[in-house]
Amino acid sequence: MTRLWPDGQPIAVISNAGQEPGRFTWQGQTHQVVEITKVWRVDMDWWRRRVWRAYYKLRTDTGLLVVLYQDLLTEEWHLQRLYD
Amino acid sequence: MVDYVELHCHSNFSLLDGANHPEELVAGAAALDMPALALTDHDAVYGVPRFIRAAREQGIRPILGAEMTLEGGYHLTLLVENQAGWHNLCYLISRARYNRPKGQALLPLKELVGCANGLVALSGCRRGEIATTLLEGRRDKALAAARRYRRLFGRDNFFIELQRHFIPGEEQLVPRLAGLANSLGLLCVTTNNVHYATRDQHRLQDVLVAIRHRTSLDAATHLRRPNSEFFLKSAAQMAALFPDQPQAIANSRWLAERCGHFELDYGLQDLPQFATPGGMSSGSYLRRLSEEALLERLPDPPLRAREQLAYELDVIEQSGLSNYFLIIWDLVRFALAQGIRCQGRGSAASSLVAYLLHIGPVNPLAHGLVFERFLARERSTVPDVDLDFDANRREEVIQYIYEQYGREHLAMACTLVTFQARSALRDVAKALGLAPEIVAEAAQALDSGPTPETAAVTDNASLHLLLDLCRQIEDFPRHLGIHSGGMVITGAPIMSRVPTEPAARPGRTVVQWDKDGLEYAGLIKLDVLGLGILAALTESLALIQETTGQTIDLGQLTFDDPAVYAMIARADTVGVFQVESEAQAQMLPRLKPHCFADLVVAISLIRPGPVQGNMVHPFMRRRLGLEAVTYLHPLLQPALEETLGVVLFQEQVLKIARDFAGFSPGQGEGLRRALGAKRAEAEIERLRDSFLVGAQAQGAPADVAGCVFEQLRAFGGFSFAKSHATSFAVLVYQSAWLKHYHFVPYYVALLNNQPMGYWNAAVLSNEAKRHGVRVMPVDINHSQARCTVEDEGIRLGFNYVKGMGEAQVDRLLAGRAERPFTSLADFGRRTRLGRTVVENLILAGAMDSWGVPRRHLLWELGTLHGQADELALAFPTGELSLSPLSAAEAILVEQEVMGLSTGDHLLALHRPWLVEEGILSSGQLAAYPAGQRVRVAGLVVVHQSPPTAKGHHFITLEDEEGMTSVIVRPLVYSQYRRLLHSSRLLVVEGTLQKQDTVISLLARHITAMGTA
Repeated sequence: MTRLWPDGQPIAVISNAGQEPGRFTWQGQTHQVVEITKVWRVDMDWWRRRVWRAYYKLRTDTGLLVVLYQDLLTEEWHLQRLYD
Repeated sequence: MVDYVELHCHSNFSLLDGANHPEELVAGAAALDMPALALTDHDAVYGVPRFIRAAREQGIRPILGAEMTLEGGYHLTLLVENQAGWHNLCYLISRARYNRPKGQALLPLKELVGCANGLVALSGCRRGEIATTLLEGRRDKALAAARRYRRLFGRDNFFIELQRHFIPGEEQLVPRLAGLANSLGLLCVTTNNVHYATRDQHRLQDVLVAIRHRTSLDAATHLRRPNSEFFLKSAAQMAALFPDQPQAIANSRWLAERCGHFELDYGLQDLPQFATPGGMSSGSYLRRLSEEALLERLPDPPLRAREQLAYELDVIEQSGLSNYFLIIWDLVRFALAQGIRCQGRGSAASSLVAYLLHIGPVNPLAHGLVFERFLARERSTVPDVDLDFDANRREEVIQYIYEQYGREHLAMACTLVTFQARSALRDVAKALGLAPEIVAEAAQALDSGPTPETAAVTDNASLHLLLDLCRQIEDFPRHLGIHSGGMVITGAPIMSRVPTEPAARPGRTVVQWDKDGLEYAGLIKLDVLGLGILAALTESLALIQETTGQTIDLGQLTFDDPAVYAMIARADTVGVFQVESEAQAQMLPRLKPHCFADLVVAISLIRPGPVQGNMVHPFMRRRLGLEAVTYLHPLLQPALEETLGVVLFQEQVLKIARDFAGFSPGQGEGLRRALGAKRAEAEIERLRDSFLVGAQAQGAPADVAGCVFEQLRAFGGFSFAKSHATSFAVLVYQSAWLKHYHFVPYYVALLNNQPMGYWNAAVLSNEAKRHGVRVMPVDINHSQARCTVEDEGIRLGFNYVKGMGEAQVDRLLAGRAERPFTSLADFGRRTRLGRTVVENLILAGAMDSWGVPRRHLLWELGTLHGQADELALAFPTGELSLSPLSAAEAILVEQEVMGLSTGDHLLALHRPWLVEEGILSSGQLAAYPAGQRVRVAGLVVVHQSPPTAKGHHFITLEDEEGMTSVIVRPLVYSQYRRLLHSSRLLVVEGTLQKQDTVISLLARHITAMGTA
């Protein structure tokens, strides 16, 4: 079952040289990114409250398949979706 | 370093899609050190001339192209490599637009066959056929499409386009596209499908998309782009996006090398060849015609005229313009043979050849006009010849051109209709989905600038956003219109010379460039304009002939009648061409024109150039001897002597450039054009440097040179050429002469040719009454289709009654031909006109002559309705008692159905009350001293807020005696703005201002009449 956090769970991410997520910590455990399967960005709703995010769907060495996003306005990272 | 050139870029000439002017994109590319940039607007090259100009200014190479919409809705990017490619692109765009609704394009694939030469094709964005089919998982179709394009364009001229915008799906798409290219031996090229120069401008692009789909941003989720990645990216940013495709990035630079050397090359070779007798050369035939005309038009011509003619013919021939002159001469010859009044305007009037061939209305030698303003040896552009024709008969001339040269060789120049403050506000507010009160606040802010009222809402974020977006979108092209008269004629079929598309008017096509674009590209445009005053002059002469038997040839007038000048000098000029405005009326009594040259000055003085350049007051003071004529430098004297040391005419810019800064005539012309052009700041700065260097080399101190240049800059381009003003001054004199000696037929003609001029028909009609002329109402038993001269008065025609079109008038006149109408029932039975139009005739007073009150007739009309087919029956009206319309009601309903009233002036009805209140009439003001506080009432007939007036507002109040000019200062205006725009009958209290005989009122308090 997929778990979804619409506003995301704040997480700490270490980026790799290409500014993509390299590893992150969630629930006290560090997860190394092994594959980024999809990348997309949104920039919308600027006429109300701008939502500008870079999304990454990725797999980790711990067997997670997740969607993270970086808020490009604040540069903060969030976990938004966890796939079973 | 990785080189990258953007080859897929949309400007705001991808209408309601691209979010930048071409100049901004070029500046962006230059800032990113791109050596070139392509412009690939959707199915159009509207922006090409501005793009090329900007690219040259920025030192980067412009690559021309377009993103075509193919059948199936697929996109394909085309770039021009050479002249053949340009012709093919023009042809393909024209075919894509052919028979399509306005603003749309769809190119049948079969059109590409045989038209790919000289073009480089890129496979397009996600909407390209190959990308689309790959995204749909149909690789076989993608391969088939790629093979087809490869076959059409050739392996070396077809490239697979790779784009990365962080959009879902592209992580598979890019490798698949690259794989497909590899399997077919095709090369890839990266592009970014640019729609804005910088990321933050994606907001404007979203708004444009919403406007294009007539919806709001909220409702346009699936129409908008998902993110802000479609901006002009640097080589480094593209390298980061495509680490796996370095060759595809390098290919962009290689393609730019291939396509970046093409230059547009138009000019005289594009005109059709005029058929001369016996195959004589154009130059010889023009010489023969001109020399024959010299003896005919200037019997015993002076040596100076012979020399000038020889000189002009040499320059014309050397410039390759003989054929062009013959084409124009033929047009004028046709018009004159048909009795269609016409004359050249603009710089063509500077040419003796033009005068001799009846193209220009005045002998340039007699008026000191400079031929070089029209044509200089080193001038790189072809001069426009603008011809004015009787507005009612211009179509005959256009049809003649079609017949002569063929429809496929002719199209009209387009106009690019741009967003203005108001239209921008309406559309942007709708896109943002804003509440009406915010839009109203914004409208107010636009109207009057920041005021105490609007200051209160400046904290409102929505209002900020709205105003910011409106500011960005202002001046953006919105849609295409058709130029009033600019025609492009080509020897080869036009659609392969420049793209064309259907105009709104059936049977007409427009080229994709406006007049500036055509001029820049060097394509010759011929202006075939309709001028209302020429129609009015023609009709006046016909009426004079008809009513008096007198035949008048206006061409024989000698411009020296003191009575005509006296009339102009007292500003009795309502209805006179060009000198009737309020501003003219304020100036003429001071200028006191007494010769033709003064008329030239008068119409040149009240122009934004002289006004903005602060030339008007110095000129008037010098003219009146109130200040000495001085020059900033002695070298300016030859250029400015005739206008007392101030710059009035465009030609003077050329003379100053030559005498003061040592410019060649061609450089001077370049300066004049730059000063009048939009977005030419960089060019002006460059010219300023040359001007200052040149002036100092001639011995002028730097500060004086700078000062002179600033004067020229302020003068700008919004001014008349002396040659143009001279042509127009002919019409000023002719119309003034007719007003003075043949008032009634002239005014009848003016009324029949509305709308034209400064004043509306109601003011003209009141002016006639003030001149003691009887203006008679429309009468079903006396009026004709148009207004007529009757018993030395003016009889209004049916053309003034709402709803009376040609068919209705024909039925009425046919019915009347049997016998006069005797009653409403009789009228209805014999004309069978619809109820509304009969009602309008009743309200206009057209049936007053039966002696039945209008209200009775309206009631009777109600009872007759539906009985049109029945026999004539006597209708009982005896017992009915309806109060007649009051005089004021009658005036108001007449204005409603005719736009004017023949009865008393509305103010005359209020006069007893106004006298009681001590409110003055316009005629009484002369008796009061300047500075006196007075109150005046009137009907508002004109509102003006010229941009040159620094927030001042001007209104003209009319009463039964005349007109009063009212000046409303910005503070007073902001206080009474709503009232001024909602109430037409006003009482203005203010301070009387007088300059000689010119009177105006400086408003202090304004009230609506009836509440004063």
